[in-house]
Amino acid sequence: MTVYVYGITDAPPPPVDDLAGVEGTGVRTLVQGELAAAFASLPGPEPPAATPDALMAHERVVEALMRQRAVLPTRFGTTLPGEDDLATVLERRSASLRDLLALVRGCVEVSVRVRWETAVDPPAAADTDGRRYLESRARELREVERAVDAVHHPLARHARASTRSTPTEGGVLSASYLVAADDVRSFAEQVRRLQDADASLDLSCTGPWPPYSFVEPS
Amino acid sequence: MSTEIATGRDIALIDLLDRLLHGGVVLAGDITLAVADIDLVYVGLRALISSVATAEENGVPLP
Repeated sequence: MTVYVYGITDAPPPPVDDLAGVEGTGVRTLVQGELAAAFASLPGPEPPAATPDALMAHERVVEALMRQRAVLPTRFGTTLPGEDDLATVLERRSASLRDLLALVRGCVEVSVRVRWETAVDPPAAADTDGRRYLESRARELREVERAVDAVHHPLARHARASTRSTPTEGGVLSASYLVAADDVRSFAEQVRRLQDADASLDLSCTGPWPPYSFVEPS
Repeated sequence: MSTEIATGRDIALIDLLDRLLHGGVVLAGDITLAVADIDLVYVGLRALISSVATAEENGVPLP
């Protein structure tokens, strides 16, 4: 048997009887001191395969928990050998997990990605050996940095916490903001205003998500 | 129009996957997803998204 963990909340845990978990399992809870964990008992030793169904089931359980309590979602694929091991982890990391719950309480996560719409001019034939091309490239990078700061800083001020990760696929900013649940609408309006203010950027904003990006102990 | 919808869904799914697979609390247990598996999940979901977009374009009712 394997214990598959969805997330950690304050004790007592919310009711989970109606929730469907990964691979057709039900959701169970365990209390350890002031903390509770929502988990599934899987019959075999293997964690669930990362299929779209399993990923969506994990997300649905975490979102259901989030509607009722502050929750620290666990990473997809987190398994422990048994319930005793889960209780031991909760006990050992109790202080830092409770600090993290206090940080995310009342908040949700909002994702913002920014792409740079202006095409980079390829070097003209005469410039291929370099200098002018490098200068214009450096100028553009400074311009991008300024534009990204003009998006990130006001949004970060609007949030309880923020974190940036390496942008992918032509992106220039990939950031997560921890926003008070009551504040999501005004946060989204601010994203829209920032988009309207700079046509050279393409902003996309998704959420509200469970606070996956704000669960690392500081 | 359906391209816009597909793009929006695409971004939301990538945001979700990034969080499920790279975010979240790492307890002391086993995280058994190998990097290769993660890439496959992304590819699989991209295929799913494009088939949804194609279905919408062709007027196939979705559940």
